Amino acid sequence: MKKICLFVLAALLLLALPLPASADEPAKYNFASAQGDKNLKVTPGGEVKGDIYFYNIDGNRITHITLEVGQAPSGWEITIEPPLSETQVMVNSILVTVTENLYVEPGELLSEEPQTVPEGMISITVPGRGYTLGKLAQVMVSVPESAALGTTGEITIAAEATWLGQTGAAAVKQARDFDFTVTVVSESAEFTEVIIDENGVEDETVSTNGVAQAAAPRWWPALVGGAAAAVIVGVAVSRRRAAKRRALR
Amino acid sequence: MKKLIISLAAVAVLIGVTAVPVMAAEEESVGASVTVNAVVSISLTDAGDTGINFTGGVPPITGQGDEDQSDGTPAIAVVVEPETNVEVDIFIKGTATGDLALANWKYSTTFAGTKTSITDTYGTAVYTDKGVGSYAFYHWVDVPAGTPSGSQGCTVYYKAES
Repeated sequence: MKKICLFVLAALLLLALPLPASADEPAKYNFASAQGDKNLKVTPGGEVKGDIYFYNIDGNRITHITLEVGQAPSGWEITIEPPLSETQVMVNSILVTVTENLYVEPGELLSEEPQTVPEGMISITVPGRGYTLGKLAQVMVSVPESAALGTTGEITIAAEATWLGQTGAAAVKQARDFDFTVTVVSESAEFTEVIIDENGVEDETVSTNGVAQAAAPRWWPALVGGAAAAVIVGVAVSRRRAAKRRALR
Repeated sequence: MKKLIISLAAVAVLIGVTAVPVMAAEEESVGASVTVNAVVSISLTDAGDTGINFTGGVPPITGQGDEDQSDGTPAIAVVVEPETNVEVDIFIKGTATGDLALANWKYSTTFAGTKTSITDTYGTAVYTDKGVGSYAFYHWVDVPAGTPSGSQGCTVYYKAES
C-alpha cells in the first residue's frame, strides 16, 4: 500500500512539472524566382514566350504572387499565364479571397530530381542546393506584322509577393521586376551578309548557308602552281615526242 | 622521264610552299555562349509576432520601435538565400493604409542608427551590390498629437533588384 501511494505521489509530482513551451516558429516569407532566357527572338506577326519559375523552400508561409506588365513597346500584345484569378484561402479558420496569378506553398528541398511531378507544378533545379517543385509563369509576347526587322522591345513584368495572416500595424510584401529583351528577326533560316560599298551599292553576297565565298582569293597560289605544273608537263611531253620523232628519222 | 618527274616534284613543292603558309596563317574562331539564368531568393524573417507591431499609446509618440526588435534583432531581416547568383540592391517603400501619414513610418539599418521616413517610391537603394547574407531593417513609428484614435496601418514593400 505504501509503495502504491509513493508511486501515485511521484506521478502527480511529475504531472505538475511545467511542460516545455512550444513557441511558434517566427514567420519567414520567402520569394524565390529563376528567370529563363532574357533575350528572345520573334518574327513579325509572330509570338514568343518568356519563362519565370517560382518556388518556396526557405519560407514557412504560402507565397501569393501577382504579375503585371510594367513596360512594353506600343502595339505589342503581352499576356501572362496563368492569368489573374481568385483563390479561396482559410487563414486561421477565416475564409479569405485572394486575387493572384499563382501561389507557391512551402516545399521540400530534394537531393535528387523528383521522378513524379504533380500536375500544375514543375521540377526546378536550385543551384548548389538540389531540386524542388515549383510553378511556371509564362509571358506571351505577340508583335505586329509591321514590326521592322532588327527592332528590339524591352518588356518588364512587375511581380508582387504577399503573405496572409499578418497581424501587425505594418504588413510586409516583396516586389521584383523581370526584364526581357525581344528582337524581331527574319523568318528565313539562311544566313546572308552583304557588303554595301561607299556608293551604297550592294556588293556580291558573301556567305550563303555557311559557305564562305570570299575564301576563293586565298587559293590563288594553288591555282598558279597548278597552271605552272600543267605547262611544264605539257612542254616536257612535247619535247619527248619531238626527240622520239628525230630518233626515228 | 627523270626530268619530268623532277619537274613535277618541283612544282608540287612550289604549290606547297606558296599555299600552305596561307592556310597556316588563317586563324578561325568560333563563338561560344551559354546563358546563365538569374536566380534570386529573398526571405523576410519577421521577429516575434507576424507583421511589424507597435504597442501604441496616447499621442504624441516619437520613435516607438517594433515590439519584437532589439539591438541585434531587427523587426525584419532581409535574407539573400544561398542559391542567389546575382548581386542585388535592396529597396524599401510603403503605402499608408490609415490616417497616419507615410512619413511617420520609419526605418533604420542599425538599432541606434538614423531613422529615415519611408516614402511611396523606391528611391535610392538602402543596401547595394549585396550577395548572400542578412540585411537588417529596424522599424519605428511617430504618432503626432491630434492623430485620430483607432488603428493606423502601413504596407511596407521590400524589393531586390539585380
